[in-house]
Amino acid sequence: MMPSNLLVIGIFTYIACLLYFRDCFYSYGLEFFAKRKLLKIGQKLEDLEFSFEQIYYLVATPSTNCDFCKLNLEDFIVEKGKVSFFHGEIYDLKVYAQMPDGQKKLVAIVPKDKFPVPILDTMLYYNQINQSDYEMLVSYLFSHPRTHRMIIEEIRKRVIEGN
Amino acid sequence: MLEIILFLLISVILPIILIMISSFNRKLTANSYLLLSGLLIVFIINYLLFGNPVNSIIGIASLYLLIVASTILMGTKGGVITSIVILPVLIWAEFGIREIGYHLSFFLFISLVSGCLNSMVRDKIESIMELNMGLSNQIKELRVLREISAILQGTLELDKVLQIILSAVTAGYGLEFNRAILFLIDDENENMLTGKIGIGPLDQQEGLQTWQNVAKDKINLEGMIAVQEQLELSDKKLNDIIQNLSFKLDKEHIATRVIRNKETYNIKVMDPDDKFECTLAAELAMEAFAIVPLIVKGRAIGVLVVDNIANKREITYKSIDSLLPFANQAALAIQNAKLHKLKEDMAVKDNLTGIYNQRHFQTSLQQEIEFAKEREASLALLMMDIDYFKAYNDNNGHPAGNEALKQLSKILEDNTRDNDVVCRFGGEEFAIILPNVFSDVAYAIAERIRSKVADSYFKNQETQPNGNVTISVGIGIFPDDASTDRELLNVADEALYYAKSSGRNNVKLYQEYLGSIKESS
Repeated sequence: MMPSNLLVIGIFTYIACLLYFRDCFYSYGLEFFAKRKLLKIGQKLEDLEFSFEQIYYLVATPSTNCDFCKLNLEDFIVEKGKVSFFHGEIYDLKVYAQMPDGQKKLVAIVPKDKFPVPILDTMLYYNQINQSDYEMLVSYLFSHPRTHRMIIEEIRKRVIEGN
Repeated sequence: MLEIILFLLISVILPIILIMISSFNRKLTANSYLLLSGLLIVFIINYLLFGNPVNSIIGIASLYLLIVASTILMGTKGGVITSIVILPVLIWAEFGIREIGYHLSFFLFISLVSGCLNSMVRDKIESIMELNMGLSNQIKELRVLREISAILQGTLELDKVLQIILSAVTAGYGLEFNRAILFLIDDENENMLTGKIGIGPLDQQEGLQTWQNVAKDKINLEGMIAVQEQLELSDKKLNDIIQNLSFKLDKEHIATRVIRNKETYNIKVMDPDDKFECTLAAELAMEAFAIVPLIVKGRAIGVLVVDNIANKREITYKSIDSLLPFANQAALAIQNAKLHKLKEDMAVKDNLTGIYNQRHFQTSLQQEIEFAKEREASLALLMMDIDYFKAYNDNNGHPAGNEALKQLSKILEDNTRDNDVVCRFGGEEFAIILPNVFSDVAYAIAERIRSKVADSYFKNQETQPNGNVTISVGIGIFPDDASTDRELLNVADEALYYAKSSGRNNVKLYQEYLGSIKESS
């Protein structure tokens, strides 16, 4: 095989791998570094309490739309907003509801730069972590499925029950 | 064959490793450099394993593909860097200078075009992100305004209204300011701006701790308002400071300007010559703040001061714009609450003296007797009357008589406890309900009031038959003398008449009156 052909294959393989493995390996990497950091500061993921106060609802809470009451947690879908095609960093979470009529309705947005994790702010203030650690831990928490599940539970509750 | 497998493996494994490394660093540019370097490593390894790729048309095309891939990863800069890296390959391929220049020009042209397209896409994504955020913020503000309006409709109590407004301004669900303080123009002195209420921490540590608790308990806006009621104790220190702050509005400082011009100011650096700013800096450790007027019907009734003491986030004009509808809503709610209070006061207070009227007295007496029954406690009722008040009015005129009534009311209020109920019973008669006292304490209080009145100077008091303005007081005790409110009123009244008939300017218990009847019979 000609080296020039292989270069074309190599470039395509490289770009395809970046696109295909972006989410999965970015999460692995983030988890690896974040867990090490958490261990070092003596915390667990569950200790990183966050607030729901920065969920931006795009429907009334509670909504008068009865269809929301029929929705289970599985009917809510989290879509991760990415800054670029090649980077795994999430900048926001968009939560959609799969309505009974098949329509996918945007229910809420959670921007990452306003995602409040007060315990990390306190640690940053007391120099227990630096700015880079802070951002890494917020990113880890923000991209974790447990966080997404909690956000969905809160959104479902607010949309159906109100406060 | 082994080399091909090795090359393909590297093309697969290298991006995976770089993706994992990039997760450690969240800077987009640094990560773009990282991914570009990976692409160049693939090119270099291809060169080392298989030799120069440019000796065929596909080889040249692969270089162009490399440039395009680089610009996709890093824009024009990526294309230029890759062009520089592959320049030696063109030289070693024994191209002539003209051919090298020709290819290089094309590389740069493609980098430029592709880079422009890349940046257009990126700009588009960024503008969509910005638009999303802007719209989300607007939606949030409208939602908070709606929620606050709904909560405000549930109360007309001024303190509660103020607390709701400040909670909305400081809560994360609301406008996210760390601290908010409300100053209102005095009702009695329009030249004075006084601190009313504040919500927020005194320092950064306290702010972080409060915020941590809010996150832990997952408190929403309504919950936040409820929590603020419980937090009143912890905010007591802040409110003690605030309620001692007052500023004269005839002196020039920032609050005067805000009220006069009805304008908002964003103070980023404290002015040492400004009294308002200096006081806030000294008392509340403020370093920067925004101050907005509270306007109702074109008139400023106070100011709202906000700052970010905990997270030190800069106050932007955008965030002040969000604050303005709240300030307007707040001003209206405050005005309504004040009017309601005034209306309530008018219903239960005496117009002339400002103390409670007879209607309130009757309701209070019933309530207090019920409480006393429940708690098996006692209470005293003091009935008092100004001696020779008709003579005072005849000699000095009714306006002077009114002034005397006001002066007496003030003495009564100043010499009773907070939970005692001081009322004007009618004309020159006054009544005081003293919960939780027995006859000896009630007598001591009545005697103290009597002597204070006798010692006070009333205008033209020399014209009175006994040379000064005095009162007579009768005391009835529940449950010793009476078992109902009506009975208690009667016995206190009888004691008062006994005091009058005993020479005036004295205090008589109902038991003394009974004793006198026994003696005479």
